[in-house]
Amino acid sequence: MGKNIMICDDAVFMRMMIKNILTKNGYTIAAEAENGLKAVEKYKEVSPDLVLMDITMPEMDGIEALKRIKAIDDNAKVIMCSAMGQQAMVIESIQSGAMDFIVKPFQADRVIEAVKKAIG
Amino acid sequence: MDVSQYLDLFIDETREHIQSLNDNILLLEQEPENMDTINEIFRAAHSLKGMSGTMGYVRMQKLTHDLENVFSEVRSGNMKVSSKLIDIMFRALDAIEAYLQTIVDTSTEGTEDNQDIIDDLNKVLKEGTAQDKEEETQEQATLTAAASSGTGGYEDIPIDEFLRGAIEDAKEDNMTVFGLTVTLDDNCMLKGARAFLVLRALEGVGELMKAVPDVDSIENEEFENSFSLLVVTDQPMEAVKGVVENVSEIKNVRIGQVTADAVKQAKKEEPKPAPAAVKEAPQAQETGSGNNAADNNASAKETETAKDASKDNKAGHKEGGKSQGTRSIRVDIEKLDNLMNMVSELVIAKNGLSTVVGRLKTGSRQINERIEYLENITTNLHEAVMKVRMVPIDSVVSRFPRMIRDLSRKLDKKMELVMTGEDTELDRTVIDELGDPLMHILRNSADHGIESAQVRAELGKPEVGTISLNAYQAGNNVIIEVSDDGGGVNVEKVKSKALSKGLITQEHADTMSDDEAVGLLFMPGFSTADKISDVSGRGVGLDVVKSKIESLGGTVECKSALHKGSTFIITLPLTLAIMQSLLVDIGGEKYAMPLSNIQTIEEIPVDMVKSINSSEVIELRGRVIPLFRLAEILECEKGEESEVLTVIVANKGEKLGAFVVDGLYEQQEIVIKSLGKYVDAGKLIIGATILGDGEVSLILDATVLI
Amino acid sequence: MKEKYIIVRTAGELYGIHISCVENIVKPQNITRMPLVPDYFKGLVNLRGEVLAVMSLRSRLALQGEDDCSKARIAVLKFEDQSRLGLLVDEVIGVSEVEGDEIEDISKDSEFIKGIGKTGTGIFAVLDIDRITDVSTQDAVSEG
Repeated sequence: MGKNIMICDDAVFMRMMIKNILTKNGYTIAAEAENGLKAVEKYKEVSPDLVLMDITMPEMDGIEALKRIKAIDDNAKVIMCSAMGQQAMVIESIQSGAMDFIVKPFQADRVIEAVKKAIG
Repeated sequence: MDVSQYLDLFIDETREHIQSLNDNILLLEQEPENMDTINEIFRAAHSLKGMSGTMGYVRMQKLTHDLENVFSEVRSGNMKVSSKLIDIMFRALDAIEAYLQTIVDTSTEGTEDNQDIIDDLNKVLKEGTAQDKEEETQEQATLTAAASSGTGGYEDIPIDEFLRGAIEDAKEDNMTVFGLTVTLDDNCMLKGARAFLVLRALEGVGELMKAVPDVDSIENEEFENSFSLLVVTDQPMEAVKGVVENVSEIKNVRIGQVTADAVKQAKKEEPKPAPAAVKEAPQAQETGSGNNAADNNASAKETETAKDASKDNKAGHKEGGKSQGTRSIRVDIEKLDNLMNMVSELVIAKNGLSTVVGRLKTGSRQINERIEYLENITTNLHEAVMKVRMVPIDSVVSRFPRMIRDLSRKLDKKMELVMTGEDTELDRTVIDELGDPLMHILRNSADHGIESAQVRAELGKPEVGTISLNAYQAGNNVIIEVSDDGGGVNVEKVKSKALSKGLITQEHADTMSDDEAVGLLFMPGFSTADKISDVSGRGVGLDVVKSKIESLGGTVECKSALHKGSTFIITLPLTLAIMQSLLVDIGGEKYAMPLSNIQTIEEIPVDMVKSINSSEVIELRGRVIPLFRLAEILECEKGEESEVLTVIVANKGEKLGAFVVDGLYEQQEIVIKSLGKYVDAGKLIIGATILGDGEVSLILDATVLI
Repeated sequence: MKEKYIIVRTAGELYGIHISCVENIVKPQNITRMPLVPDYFKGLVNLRGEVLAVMSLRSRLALQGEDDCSKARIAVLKFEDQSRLGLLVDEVIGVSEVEGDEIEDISKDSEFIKGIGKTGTGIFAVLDIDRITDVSTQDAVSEG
């Protein structure tokens, strides 16, 4: 296995929850970022196989971070994490290269389904 | 299968169905031919049968099954509704309700078979169906028609000239046109975004020729769960299907090849859906759900018309078009209460902040602006949460028509109840408490208001007495009026009764107005009935009704005219501040303490109280907690010393405090009333409430002492 | 200009309250004691579902005697800002009409009295309701 994933969300609680779901299913966590800026930095350092990106974050939001990451690495695989009612932003993310999206509140099986589809 | 986890849900839904059946059977009694009502009854019985079967309640299932059978015959026109049937139905309904009650009490359905009712049902069934069968009703045809039009999908996409041409071009280029109908998961959240992913995936393997609904509508989630597309591609069908299936939250993909000649055109003004249905029952189509005329997908003159058609198309797929409008979710009442408590606390905290800022002699304008903003938000939040707690009074009043019908029989007086405004909403707690007072007033009207048939005839009144219940919103209040066209209040009789009971003096009686005299009815200790009838009596007077309504923050009054009738007017405020509290005794006085920060209640022997630096503390489960004697702090009269202290342990953040009270009453949800601008007892007393008995009780936030 | 006043008696003396402030007169019933507030607050009552604070006129004017009298009444005062306050008095006598300029100024400096009014039968002290209801100078109450 050994697929590693970067988690970007400004809420510690959310990151922890996603981390738990992923590690229980055999994935490793490459890095965590609490805002878009850090997300882009860490992506450069760590080159994870997949990024889970929250849309609303301080400093730089998920969509901007997505665009920058895609600019660095066109093959970057990013799944957006959105809240209800963020439809327009989700669509914008997809247009900017996001592969998929999951809606909060998360259900473990949905998260894993999306991750599997992205990187196996 | 362990079904116990579904018990609560079963009980809730069964209650709803029983209520629906009640209303509809009453309606049916008035309109025995009303097909809608008959259908509703059938559906309710059918659901009840299914649910009770799943839960293993076989007796209930049998009864509802037989009820459903009878109704199936009525529905298909093989049997007419007779008053005998209505009576049996009510009996059956009562039996079902009894089952439900037994289930609520014991989780089992009990052993009552209700065989007599079942026998009667079957007897009525036999007698009824022996009568003439009606012709196959339009109902049948519409049902069949609707059923077969349920397919609907890319096959129904109307092909106009332009599209046709495009399809033929594609063929020449060795490309194929596929039609797809994509169905999203039922619980897919952002449908528009998900659909967008599908569209994008398809654009990766080909080109999108047509979308139903159109792409913008899809992105705006203007579809139920599925949408259809025409895609031109050089890829094989499996590949195309594959990219769609690869998107998450896709329930189902139907794909097929679309060729130009497979779609027959008949020039028609309005292209309509459900081609299959046409063959079966052309008449039905005309009279059916507004999708008349029936040809295959006709060619449209303009793409626009096709667009409209596609919308109708979609509608035709479901019976009569289900509204996508109101979406709702069930919410645990506890969660709502929790939310409500937090908002109430927020309101109190905001009030405290405002007071403190108000007292600052040097007020910074910035602070004041911020405070105003905060006040605005808090008020809006409070109102929004209040709205969530709003429930239509229907849940309370729906049982009344039946009650009046029963009373009418029992008292042998003809009367009926007419209601309006059942959808008027009130706070949930108010609704819960409103039932009894309203019932009492109604029974009062039935018993004392409406006169006997003879008296009514003498007065030239219609034989059937009318009691009406009207609810409506007026400004910040909800008004509920209960009127009857009965005998009205006999002012002289009331006055003399009050005099004889020593409730008023003779001078008072002489000088009071008629309106005031009517108000005497609400005085404690009053009752005009010479004997206590078991209908409205039981020694419970209108004073209890008044107390109860006042404790809800409302008012009640009565207007009456002799021989014409009476009207009780109940006014209730729309918004309330409500909190869960614990009522306690301190120094012989009743106080309310917010329940939310109470951890435990302990009985502590007096000698366990220790003194540290002239403060008292107790040790509880390893923690040292400061002790506060509330009776002293509140300067109450000194009571007896007791050996054991009743102590309430509450928290402020991480810190705990122990508060000595002299006794406990009960838990109660209370309405928080402001003390007004003239009294300020500091942070300890945060408000007042009016208890059920009309007394004012102060609300303490003892944790400020910590 | 004729002004109307509600005449009340407390501690043997007559006082007048301008009619524009008085909404209602009610019998005191079940006054809930309010701790931790100045003594001149008698407590709270339930007025048709709302909580009304009641001030004892006797205590406010620092007069002698006790408040429990059989003829005691609460004058429900209502103000421009829609707030209400109850004023507990020993007895409500009635209404008196007085010419505006017949209110005499008083020589002694009294915090709560605006002037003296004459009725057919006697004289009464005109209460300065604004001052009486001005509670902002009350001491900050102890924290608990």
